Amino acid sequence: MATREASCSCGQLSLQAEGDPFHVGICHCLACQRRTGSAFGMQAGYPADRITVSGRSTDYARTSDEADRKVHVFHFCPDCGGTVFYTEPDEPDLIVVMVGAFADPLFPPPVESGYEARRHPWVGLPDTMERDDLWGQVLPLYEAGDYAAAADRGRELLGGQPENGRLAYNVACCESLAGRTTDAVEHLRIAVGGGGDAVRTMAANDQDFDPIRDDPAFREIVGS
Amino acid sequence: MTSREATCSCGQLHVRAEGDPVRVSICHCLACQRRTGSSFGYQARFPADRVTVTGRRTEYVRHSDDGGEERHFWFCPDCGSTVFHTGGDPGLIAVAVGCFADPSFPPPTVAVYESRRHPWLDLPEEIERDDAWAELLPLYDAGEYAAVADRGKPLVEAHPTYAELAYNIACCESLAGRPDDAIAHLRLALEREQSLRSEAAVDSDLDAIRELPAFRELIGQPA
Repeated sequence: MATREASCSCGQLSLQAEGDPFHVGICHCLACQRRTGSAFGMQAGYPADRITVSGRSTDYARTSDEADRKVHVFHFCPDCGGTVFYTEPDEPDLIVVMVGAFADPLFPPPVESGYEARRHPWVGLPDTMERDDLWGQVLPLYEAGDYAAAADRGRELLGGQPENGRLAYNVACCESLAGRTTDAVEHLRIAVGGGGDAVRTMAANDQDFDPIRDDPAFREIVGS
Repeated sequence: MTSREATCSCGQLHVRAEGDPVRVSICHCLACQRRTGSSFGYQARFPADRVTVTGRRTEYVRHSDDGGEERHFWFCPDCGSTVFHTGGDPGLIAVAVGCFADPSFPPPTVAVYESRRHPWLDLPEEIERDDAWAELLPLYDAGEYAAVADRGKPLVEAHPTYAELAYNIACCESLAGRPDDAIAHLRLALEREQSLRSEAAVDSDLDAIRELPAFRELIGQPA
């Protein structure tokens, strides 16, 4: 299996990643801009058991602005400041590596671009990349607790981007919360098909799926 | 005067910059990729006397790949964000643009280390790229300085804001025994990019013109 090595600027903190990442994305949010000092962050997600870290690191924990208030712990080299990876205490099976730390322009390109609203307008991205504008249109309905309307709108948008795993996952959440078990299972299946084990784990721990947690099809998908 | 605030992720280390930057650029080099964790570095240079830094910071010193010039990067020891760097021209401070957290920040006018660009990244035509020099580099490496100087002259005219190109052509002209052309292109380069002055002061490519009064005047050394 292909192995890649990522390291900080001075080389003190490094990691080995076995195989390809299951997801590569860029994120234009202001927190990614401040952390990187660049126009966006670029991250690659791996199952934790494919990553071997060596060297000293300092932790910086930050709670996401998003509705899930998820905690991200960034690990940086105390000697040069390079952040090499982050982890999520709620998802011990996941390690997310900063792609720049691989210093490889031929690294698999990003498939998703998040926080489009914060994109520096001169940054040009290929048309093939998924933008998160779509979920941004559904989010206010979700946040207002209007899950049936969110599910309707999400389903409509998903019609134009059937392979959009992130959107499919979020729509499945809305459908679960709206009591539409069959639809939720169908869309979660699409999301897991594209994202694999990390998405399975995420679904297993996501409270949005509590209404369908005992459904046999759900149990089969998440493997519980 | 307008002023902008740049901070690290946790807000402990911050920089206040008055007025607009004198130069905004992105750099695709591998060192910028490692430092940022992103696919390029994005810097805005301000005159040092317009920048006020507050907060604790740790210094990381790195020698550039192409000649050992020191760069000093300053990061927050609590969250790891590198907020600014110094080196090259002592009169300028380079602030990491992401730390301004402002998508409407003035866009870059120059992109360097084009050869390390992640190919999926698309940049607008208005941003000068260093492809022009990349084409000439093999000739320079082969010691064909007169050939580089011949081909370089029209390229400098075609890329009017690309200071590093004018500088590199001046180096070749110096090495090819064309002092007048070298001085003219060095003058252009320094007008566009002050930070090249300290490089010119120590660059052995310019030894052939170092004793000329015009060179001393450009570099600001006593005759």
